[in-house]
Amino acid sequence: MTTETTVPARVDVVVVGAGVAGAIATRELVEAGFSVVCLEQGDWTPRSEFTGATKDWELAAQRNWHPNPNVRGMTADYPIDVSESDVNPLMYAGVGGSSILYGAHWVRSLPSDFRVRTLDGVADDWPLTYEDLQPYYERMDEQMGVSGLGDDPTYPETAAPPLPPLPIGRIGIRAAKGMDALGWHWWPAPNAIASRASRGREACVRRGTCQTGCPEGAKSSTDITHWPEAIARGAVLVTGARVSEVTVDDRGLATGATWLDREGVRQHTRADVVILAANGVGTPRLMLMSSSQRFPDGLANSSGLVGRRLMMHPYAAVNGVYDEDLESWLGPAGQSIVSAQFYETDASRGFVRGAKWQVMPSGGPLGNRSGYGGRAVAGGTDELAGWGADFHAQSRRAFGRSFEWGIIAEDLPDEGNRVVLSDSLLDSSGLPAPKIVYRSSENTRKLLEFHRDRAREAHLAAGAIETFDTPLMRDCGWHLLGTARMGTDPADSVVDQYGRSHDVPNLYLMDGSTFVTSSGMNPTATIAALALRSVEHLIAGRRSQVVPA
Amino acid sequence: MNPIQIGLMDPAHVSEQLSDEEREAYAMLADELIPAAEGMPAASEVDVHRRWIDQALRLRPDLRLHLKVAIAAVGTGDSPRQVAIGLAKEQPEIFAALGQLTAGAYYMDDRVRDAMGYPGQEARRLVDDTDEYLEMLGRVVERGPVFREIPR
Repeated sequence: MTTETTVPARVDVVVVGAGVAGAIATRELVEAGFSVVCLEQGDWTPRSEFTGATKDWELAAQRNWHPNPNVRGMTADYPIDVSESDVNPLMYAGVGGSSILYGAHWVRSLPSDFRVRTLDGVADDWPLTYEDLQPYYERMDEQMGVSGLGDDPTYPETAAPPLPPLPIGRIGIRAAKGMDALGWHWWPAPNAIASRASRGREACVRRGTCQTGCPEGAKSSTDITHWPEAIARGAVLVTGARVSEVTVDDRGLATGATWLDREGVRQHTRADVVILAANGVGTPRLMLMSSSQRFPDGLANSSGLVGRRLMMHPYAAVNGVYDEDLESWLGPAGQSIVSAQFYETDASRGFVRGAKWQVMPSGGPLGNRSGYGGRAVAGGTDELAGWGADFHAQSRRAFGRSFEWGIIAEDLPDEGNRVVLSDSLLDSSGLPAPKIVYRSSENTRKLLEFHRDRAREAHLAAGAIETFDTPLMRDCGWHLLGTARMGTDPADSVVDQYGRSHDVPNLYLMDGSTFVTSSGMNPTATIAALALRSVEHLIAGRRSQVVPA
Repeated sequence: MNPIQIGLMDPAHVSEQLSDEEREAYAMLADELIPAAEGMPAASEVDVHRRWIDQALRLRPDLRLHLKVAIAAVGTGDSPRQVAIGLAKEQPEIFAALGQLTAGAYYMDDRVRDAMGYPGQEARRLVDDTDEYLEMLGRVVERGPVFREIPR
């Protein structure tokens, strides 16, 4: 795929970030006749680089394909100071953004997620409703080619996913039997993974390596689903372009973006409108880096909320071991089945809000060891527990015979949890790295404890002979949310419901940073639906859009 | 902290390749971690020390120094088991790297995979398994919505 040819010096819109939201926005804009430059700090990732079909897979997943940029340490990644965080943020820098490595769990938020203040007296309501977003969810299901089964009672009536469901496999059947015995909700999981060839994607082959990149091109990452068409229609995608500042004029309007090319040469692209789609860490980082005389506390930050209210979805899991071969290395991974049984608030539990559950495979033998390794089968306590004869006994007992009920805890906003600029750590371009200050709350701890107990019951009801808890994973910060929240009042929000800055009317944010609350669902479907809604609003209002001279 | 920082090894003397002596010393350590048992071969029986460890280090070059430190501890008079226990107790980072590389290398061998019944992350033809669960799913539908209605 070729990208940049000559980068025009001035365009209608400059988009920062070629991930999910940046791709959706760019494609809509070029279809509507706008000239667009998208600046992406990473590169294209050829499918041939993914190691899932080789023996390299599991060891490569621990380093070059690890979702934590601090582990990966690639030039395109910026380092992140996590010395004051319970959770490591995870992301990928490149065309397609984190959709290159995500699990493609394509689920929507629920109606209650947009009304948590009204219903539960905590956090804030969103300035829009589920019903406002539902048509955009449905259209994004089509654009991303989601596989799944309709009529899930988790949601109000809506269109079924466009592609048939992927197999839930032996792990899904086993898990479903447990939920059935308990009378709990479960459903075959929706995934943005093709169950048959569709819109430039091949059919899934259940390789199970989705989270290190799909070698088949069956997973919907926007380098496949959106960028080829956007570029064909005239979008200019510049890779290796690290944006250092959004520039402004005397009127406080955004005038474009300053960026460093691969050689470190400073460039500037002038634009009438600037869209930031750099994720919930990258977007506030750039806004804070874009301080100026007019915006001394960071761009569009009169509320003081840029970078604050970071939510990252603390994640716990309960793994169950069974006495039958479940082929639990098989994909999709991806999710097999999901449950919203304990999603909504029940005050008797001693906490508010809830969590989504999903069954996922347990990976290859090395990944399996990370779940069960180091535990002596015979109950020994010596330093070599999990090694020696135990190494094999453990493998025989758990490998291929275990799966995970994963728990995504709704993370409530707290202004103390935030993204700031590091005063000591720099990226490879010499720009300040982000620093994360993040502590999970008492509500989260109670929530996860309750859910782990229920997930253990689900495993036991399904016939598990043994269970293992992971109370809180450190490498779980896939979902970077809330750091420039939307709202109606400029005093307590950064953007309006369409992602437009209250302070800078030609600056738009289209990523997880605009979330008011996190929901307990994987957020990519919501990020995508919001991006589509926002960009259509921008296009519809083009004649009244304020732009710099 | 890496092995250089903790003063265990002079980086000037860390070669890229493992020497024959290092491989033999590593074999003893690897077999302590992964012996022949439960019908599975020992690490050295499948050439972890001569073949697969090189593949593992290609993928995890960041752990090369850790492995060298672990190997250097063999031959100090302690048995391989005593060395492994000592590393686990006193240098857990070195021990973790040793374990990660050795297990990763071991699982690359086809004899090991065959014995485990693991075909690797192979491609499978998609099958429709909805018939296996539709009856159960019917009961989920009968129980009705799980989302909370929003008061208007």
